[in-house]
Amino acid sequence: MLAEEMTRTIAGMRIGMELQPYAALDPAALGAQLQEARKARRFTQQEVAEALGLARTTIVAMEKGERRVQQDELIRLAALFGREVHELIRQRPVRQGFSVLFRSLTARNEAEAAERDAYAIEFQRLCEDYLELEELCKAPLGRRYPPEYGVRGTPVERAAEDIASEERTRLGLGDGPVVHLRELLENDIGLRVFYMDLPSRTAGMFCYSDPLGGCIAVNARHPEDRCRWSLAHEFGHFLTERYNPDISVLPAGGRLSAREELADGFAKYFLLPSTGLSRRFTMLRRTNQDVITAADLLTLADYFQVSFEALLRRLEELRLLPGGTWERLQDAGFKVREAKSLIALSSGADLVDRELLPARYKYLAVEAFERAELTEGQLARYLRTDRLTARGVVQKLGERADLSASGEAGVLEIDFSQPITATTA
Amino acid sequence: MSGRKSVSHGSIVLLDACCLLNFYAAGCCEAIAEALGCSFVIAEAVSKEALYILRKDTAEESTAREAVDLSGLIGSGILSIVSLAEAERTAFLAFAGQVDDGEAATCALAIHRRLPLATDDRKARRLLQAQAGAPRLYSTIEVLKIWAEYTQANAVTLARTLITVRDRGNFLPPRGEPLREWWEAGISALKE
Repeated sequence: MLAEEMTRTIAGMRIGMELQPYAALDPAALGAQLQEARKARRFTQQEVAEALGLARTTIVAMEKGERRVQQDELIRLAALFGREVHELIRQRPVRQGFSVLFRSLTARNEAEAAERDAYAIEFQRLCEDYLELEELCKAPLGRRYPPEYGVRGTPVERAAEDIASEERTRLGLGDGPVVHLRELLENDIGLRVFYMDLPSRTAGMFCYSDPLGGCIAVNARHPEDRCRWSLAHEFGHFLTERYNPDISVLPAGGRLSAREELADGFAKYFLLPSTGLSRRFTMLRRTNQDVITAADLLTLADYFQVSFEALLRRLEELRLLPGGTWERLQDAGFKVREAKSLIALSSGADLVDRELLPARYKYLAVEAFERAELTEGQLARYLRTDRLTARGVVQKLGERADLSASGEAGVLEIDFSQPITATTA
Repeated sequence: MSGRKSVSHGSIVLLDACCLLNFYAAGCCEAIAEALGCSFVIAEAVSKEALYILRKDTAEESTAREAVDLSGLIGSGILSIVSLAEAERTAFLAFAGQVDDGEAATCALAIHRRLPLATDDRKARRLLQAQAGAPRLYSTIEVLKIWAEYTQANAVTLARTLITVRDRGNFLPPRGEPLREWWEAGISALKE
């Protein structure tokens, strides 16, 4: 029997073309997956070795791809790491992990570094899953990336305002509020944006790699206005230092580094452009005959979808409010949340898609499932949910409210497996 | 009652997670097993998956869920959990490159033990049908039809059962399901 034929016959089963024998897997790729899975669970190599009754050096060799992982070892490792064997052996697009890229950033201690690794790995898995769905559906994410902005020699504030202004012009935003920031970054620029449950001090993460492009995670546990700020901040990193990954932590009162200052400055000018904000504020003052109340400012913050504090600080900077207004209100015990509820302002959270996954990601997952490229179990895994909910997502995304010619409401079923564009002979 | 549909092979039918969820949602696994003249088996990996159905007790549309509890079915002997034998692991790993672990273990068992398999999963079906010695495949609807014919379920009982599967299991017939019309006709009995 030819060697090629032998590899296609495993355990007495002649396997079809789509299946690959385990023996044909690249040991280095498998080793990298095992290392990533181990770190995601914060196990040391010694702990894994003890759990499997092997020497630590054996685990080292497995992770380097120098020793082939036996079948039963792989199954036990998957169980130990709480991963599916499928996740460990499927082909994945990225070699250099986000956790490796993030390692250049300082952590306060080992525990923080391990925690950061775990979140970085999940962030990377989300981005890779997104890319895999695009590949399955043959629908690559359109990228409208501007070249990196050079800022050398320009004062940080000036550079931040210039870049924000150029980007607003490029994206046709004028100087009004950016209403759907997430959708803008995803659809008009081609960034991958996830709302993850991150540690409370972490505001967001940014990473870039060639196959994945620009990837941003913001902390879904934070209020929506903070999420938007973090999103704009990470976008600032993408525009100015694309190849330097970033993890933004909430400022603890100390001075920001120059690159953090630039990204934060960008967020400020991008979300609160000087001309648009000044014009709106002046109109408000004119209408109210020079009397500006806290309710007016809350409404203005809501209009620009930024926090009350961010708005006040920006107005102070523009000398439209006296310096120290925010601090004075704080000292007087002003409670933003209570004030908002008094004037029946929503926090904006219900208006914005705060879901973990981008809408396009979910559509692609459903499309891949409908094309029989994913099993139901895989679909649930891609959607980070269980089968029952995944079925609900398929039903929800697979049909749209429809209005017939006679004005009767109905449901239009969408066949994801059919091309939208008709082919003509 | 009409004649029992023979599924042969030691009267065991393998279920994947989709079908297990659907039959559990139907609330009549014993009757289905009886109609098929079989007992059911699932792969150990499937038994470990967290499965849910929607609650029955809410009249309005609800998203309240309950976990699938297999202990009753196991206790009554209707359902057994099987582990992969060593020889089946190679096939499991080959399938696991393409499908999730539960599905891969189910496929490996179906191929190796030559067990008829109930699955609606189109990808799993495609992979299995490409293998030599592919098992006999059943779909949720096909099994429910066998049950309906065996028990001579009247139109109302049938409609109620199908609606229960649809509503509690969030199940809709997959694209290309040949018995889709039977399913829709069965459900429509309660609409009229």
